[in-house]
Amino acid sequence: MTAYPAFLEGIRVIEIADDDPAVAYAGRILAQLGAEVLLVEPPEGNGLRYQGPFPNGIPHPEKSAAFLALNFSKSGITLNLRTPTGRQVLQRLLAERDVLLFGPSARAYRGLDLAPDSLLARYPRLVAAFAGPFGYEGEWATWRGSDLEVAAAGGAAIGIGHRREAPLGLPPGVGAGQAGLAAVAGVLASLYAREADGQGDFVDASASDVWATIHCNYITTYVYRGVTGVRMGNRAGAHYPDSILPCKDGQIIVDCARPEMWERLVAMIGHPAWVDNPRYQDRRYVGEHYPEEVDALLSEWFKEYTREEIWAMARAHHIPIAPVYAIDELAGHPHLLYRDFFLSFNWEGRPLTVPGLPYNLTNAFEFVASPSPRLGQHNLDILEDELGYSRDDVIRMRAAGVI
Amino acid sequence: MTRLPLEGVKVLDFCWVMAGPVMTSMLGDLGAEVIKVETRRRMDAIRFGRPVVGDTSAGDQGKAQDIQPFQHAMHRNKLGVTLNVATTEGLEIARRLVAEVDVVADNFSAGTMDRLGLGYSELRAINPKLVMISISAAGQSGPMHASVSLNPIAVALSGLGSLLGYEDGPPLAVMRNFYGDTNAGFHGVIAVLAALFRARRTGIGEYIDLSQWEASTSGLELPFAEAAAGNAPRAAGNRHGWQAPHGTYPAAGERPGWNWVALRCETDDQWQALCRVLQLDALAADARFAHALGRLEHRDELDRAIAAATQHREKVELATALQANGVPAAPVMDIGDQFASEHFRQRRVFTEAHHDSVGYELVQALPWRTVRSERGTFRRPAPYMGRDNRTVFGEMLGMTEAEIEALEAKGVLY
Repeated sequence: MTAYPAFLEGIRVIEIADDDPAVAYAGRILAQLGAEVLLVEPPEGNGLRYQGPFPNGIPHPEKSAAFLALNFSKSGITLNLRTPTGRQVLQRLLAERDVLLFGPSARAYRGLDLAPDSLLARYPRLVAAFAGPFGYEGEWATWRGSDLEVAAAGGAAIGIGHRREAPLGLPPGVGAGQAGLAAVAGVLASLYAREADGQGDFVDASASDVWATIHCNYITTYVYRGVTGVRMGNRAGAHYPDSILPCKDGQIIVDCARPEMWERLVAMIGHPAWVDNPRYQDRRYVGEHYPEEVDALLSEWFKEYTREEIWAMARAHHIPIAPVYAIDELAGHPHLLYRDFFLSFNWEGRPLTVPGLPYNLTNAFEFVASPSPRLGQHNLDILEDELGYSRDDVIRMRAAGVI
Repeated sequence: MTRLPLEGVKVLDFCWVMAGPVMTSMLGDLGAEVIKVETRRRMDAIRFGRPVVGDTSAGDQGKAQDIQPFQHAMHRNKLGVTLNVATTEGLEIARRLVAEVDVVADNFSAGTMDRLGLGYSELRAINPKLVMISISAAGQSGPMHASVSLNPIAVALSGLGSLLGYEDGPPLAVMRNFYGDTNAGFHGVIAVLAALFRARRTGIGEYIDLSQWEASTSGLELPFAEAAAGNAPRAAGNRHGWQAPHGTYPAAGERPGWNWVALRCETDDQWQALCRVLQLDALAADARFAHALGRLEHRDELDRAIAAATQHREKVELATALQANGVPAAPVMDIGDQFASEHFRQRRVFTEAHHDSVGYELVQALPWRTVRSERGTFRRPAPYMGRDNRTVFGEMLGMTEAEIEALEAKGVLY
């Protein structure tokens, strides 16, 4: 079987390790697309190494599942970017790289000039990308932010939870992840453009920006009707049904966004008499005023069947209904196994299952995931083999806390 | 001068509704010429629905499908043609277009492009460098490939739904946004750009079989890490494993219960700073709350005390004051707040777009910006049905005006 070249074969990336998972996620996706990614950590190690979980709950910088999940297939060196020598080494590496990824943590290194004008002047072919909660420039650019602040400012939190209760943030990594995707997309577009004119670029990716665009149609509704989408508990939209319903062995989601879907649902459940009740004809009205009434009527049918039985029937009838799965139900799911979706790592004797790229490719390239780097694992490879430092140089750097 | 990275790239766009069109609109913003293929036999659902503006007397059977504003954002920069590929001639015209483009995109149910005679095995023979992408609910094959996909379905299947909810109840499983669609479109953009990069260098094309379910699961690495440790991840409200306070708190405003601010403390120093900003001297001096463990233990009392203070403060002012003192915080914003925000104005997240039917309106821009490309460009408004038939079939395929008219009358360019 032919192995095609990887999409990003020959592209070399430097990632200045950040505590923001967006930067790690971006670097990892580039690695999965075939780029060679070098992670540059401070000598004490990136913050994600100290974020669990750990085996048996005992912290250890080489045993963090979070670090492994976000940093597999990268090489790693240590550099103290607070020192002139550390920054010099970075400059030399940048001169031989196509892409630089960094995030808010890099701002702490005074003396490290990563400003767009400066980078583009010194490295005209470099594609640099910043990924963070509020972006590289703007009034809130220096604000601290994790998934909670991203969800809040980005407009996601206002749409999660019960209407009269506290709005909810996004699960860990989900808010930040969108900045990672934006950085990757920006880098790829810039690399493509560079093929034509030889010029690099500086990508400014903000997680809260991305979430603000995810409102989509609600933006239009706001512009024309002055109303804004707000959380409605377990209801997704303004039509009916768009509900989470209990069934025999768990929960399913039912979303009939278009009239023909409701018709098919009615047929599937055997057209019970209540469907023809005048009270339930205007489904928008039902959704706005008494959805729980029809939820109860629908539930009578759904509670006779399991999630998988219902989903199988829904597929046959072409209706949008599906199980609400928990995370731990996915790793062994027959469909996802068929799709070869997951990557599996040996994490201290246990399997760590991680989502892979969300697509299958016909002209696929070979990708064998390697574990995340040990702290400073490739120091000698890079410092000696690539940059030509002597062993004495390396020992001095070590003693001076440069690596 | 704004650089358009995809200038010269042509996309044949069979996408409809949300996930696919989000992807092709980003490609268009980046400079690609996106040819949106539609048919009056089954019109793109996003051309309908509320709010309808313009000539409302026409209802859904008249002109409404050309002016309904949902599509103004989704279809900007795209050329619009009508083409009925269910006819022999229509299919042949589609294949001629495939020879002229770099990308073919769809988000039909699994197997549809094959059934139409436009599957990858056919199209790669016409155009070996072609990058083709199909976005479907669960992929083109597999036990559940016949699923119907909508945004909330993808979120529920992905495990993300199970993480949305309060500590003491079943998962709410939904968000009021279009994440299940936009996130899939975003992964699609990444895959297309990467494949185009390889195709440009090597002449090798690609077929990208993207699953909306898998796209929604991507990004959940941290919960999967917890699962590996045996900590089955579940919804926990705004509770955090080791940070307290951590959550959203009521803020002042005209509408009761509408305004909130998010805040948290990672360190004891931040806790002291929070107390200063909220003027909670008694709390700052209370030994029970001095360290994280104590704050975690007495979370409920802490939250009540903080809420009693935050409810008198305007959310942007309070978040700004907290951030200035090193405390992570942000206002819980809705779309109106974002439109009014100086930060978002500077970021240019929303851009003014012009459409003949309504004049100027604000639409979402490309989700990221760059120095050379800004947020791409807005070059032409969303098309009404068949607006660009002459541009595409005439200029690209060399058809005469008479030929185009005849095909329109025959129901081929329809």
